[in-house]
Amino acid sequence: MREHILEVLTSVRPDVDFTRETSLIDDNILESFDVIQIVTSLMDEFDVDIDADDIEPENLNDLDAICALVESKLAGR
Amino acid sequence: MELKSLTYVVFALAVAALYYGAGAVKYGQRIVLLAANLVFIAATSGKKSLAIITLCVAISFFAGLCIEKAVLANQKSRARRLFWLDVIVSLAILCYFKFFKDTFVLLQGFLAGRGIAVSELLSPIGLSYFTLTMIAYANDIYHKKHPAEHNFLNYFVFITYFPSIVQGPINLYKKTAPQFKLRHQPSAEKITMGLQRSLWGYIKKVVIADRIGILVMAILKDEAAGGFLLFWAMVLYSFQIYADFSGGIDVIMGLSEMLDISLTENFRAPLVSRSITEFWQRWHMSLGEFMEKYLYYPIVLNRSVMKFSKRIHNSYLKKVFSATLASVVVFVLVGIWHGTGWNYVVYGCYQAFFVSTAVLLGPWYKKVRAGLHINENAASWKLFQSLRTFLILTFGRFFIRAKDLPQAFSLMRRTFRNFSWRQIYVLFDGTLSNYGLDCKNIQLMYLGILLLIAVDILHERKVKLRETLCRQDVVTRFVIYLLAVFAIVIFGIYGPEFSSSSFIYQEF
Repeated sequence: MREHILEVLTSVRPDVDFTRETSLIDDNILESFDVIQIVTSLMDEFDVDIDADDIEPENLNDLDAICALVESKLAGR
Repeated sequence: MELKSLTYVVFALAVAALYYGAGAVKYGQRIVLLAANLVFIAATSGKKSLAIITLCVAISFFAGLCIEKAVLANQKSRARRLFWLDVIVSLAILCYFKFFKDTFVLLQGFLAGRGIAVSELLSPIGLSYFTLTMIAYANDIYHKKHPAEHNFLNYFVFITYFPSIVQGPINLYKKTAPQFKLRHQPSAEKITMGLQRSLWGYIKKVVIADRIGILVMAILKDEAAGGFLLFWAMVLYSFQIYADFSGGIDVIMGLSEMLDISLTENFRAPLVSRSITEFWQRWHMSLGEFMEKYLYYPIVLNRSVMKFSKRIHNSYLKKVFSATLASVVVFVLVGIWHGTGWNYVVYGCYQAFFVSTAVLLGPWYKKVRAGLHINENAASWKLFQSLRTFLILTFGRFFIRAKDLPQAFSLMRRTFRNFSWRQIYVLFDGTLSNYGLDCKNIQLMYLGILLLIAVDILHERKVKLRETLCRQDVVTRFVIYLLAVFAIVIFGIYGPEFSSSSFIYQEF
């Protein structure tokens, strides 16, 4: 699943190394439009619901946090 | 009590001394802050305003408790109803003072004409700022982001925190409120850093912004002023509003740093922004964060909006529809937040146009740049983008500099009907010294503007100016601070005409 998520992230921002970055939101690497693209792509790819209140730096700052978010959504489905 | 007045400086220093003096007593620092907040609000906008603010805080506090109770009892629809009721009440109070106060004044005159005395109702200070804080607070309890505050005095101290109630930044409960519950120890580093930042803030306000303000006001008032001169006045106004707003925020952040309370940063070198979208990520960041978190994302991820966007056949439009719609709503509301006239609505639409077209036409812009073989990393291209962004913003400021929409259009007509680049000579032939500032003051004003630009560029290049200054030996630091104080006293704009000039963003 990690590889699949990485694929989604890279399709939105090919210029970002998601395996290395640890402050995607805090360091303004991702803009709000990127965040929206990533969240909607993850919703479509994994058939999960991600709400606006899930968009927090701690859920999106790095690849691990994004994987954890998707996993929690899959578990709660 | 104006932020730039000597009374405020003495008051703030006295509060800082009492705050650390009360550190040994349990709750001592919170009591000092509570007293300071009460005195500041009463002295700034009157006792009636204090009563209105207390009422607003009380409503928000009890709403928070009720929402939390419903959430914990798993009564989702009750929690949602309570949350929306709280939002509506908060917005109703804000709208009353922002939109309907003029109607109330008319009513007052009508009643006074019939011998019925109605006392004046002053707009409570900081209402536009703390209403957003209170809405965010209710939203976060509703979404279980943090528990409700159970101590009214703690909540009151947080909402009415006197440094930031004037003009922000907009504080979020989760980030800021816990700091008021800690016992803070004085430290030479924090106090020096805080004083240093406040000094820079005062330089920006009284030496740079207020000096520019004299010239801008005089030029715009002059009906005979040529197009280029009016355009130049608007360029200067862009620097004035930046020095004014960020100067005020520096004073506030500096004082907070002295009190060991960390607030959200409100600026990140906005002068180097290369697009309008980027500008709004660097300017009034706490408002941007609020809008993004509580309006932009909820609109984009709203089920109805997403359902609608999925029906769009064009794949690119499908992708960008919700984000474009959300940008338009956010920026129109940002405009309205700034003021009540149609000029502010147009200002919001103007910003929305650039932000949304950047998303909609992004791929096309990219193709054009590639077709023109533009090196996007070239310094010249970056400089061009920054200048273009600055000019777009300057043009937009016609709407907020004018009192209303007809005045804004009239100012634009006057500017562009007689505009010619050949009139550039007015900057060098002494014409400007007919507008309230003599030649030396104009030179000082330009020096101040260059300083503003230089500081933004250095910040962008990650040069830590304040830390560098703190690493200097004690004599160097003392001389620099003393020079800063002298600059404020000697070069600051004071006097009967300008003693009442308040911070521009305080008016919002």
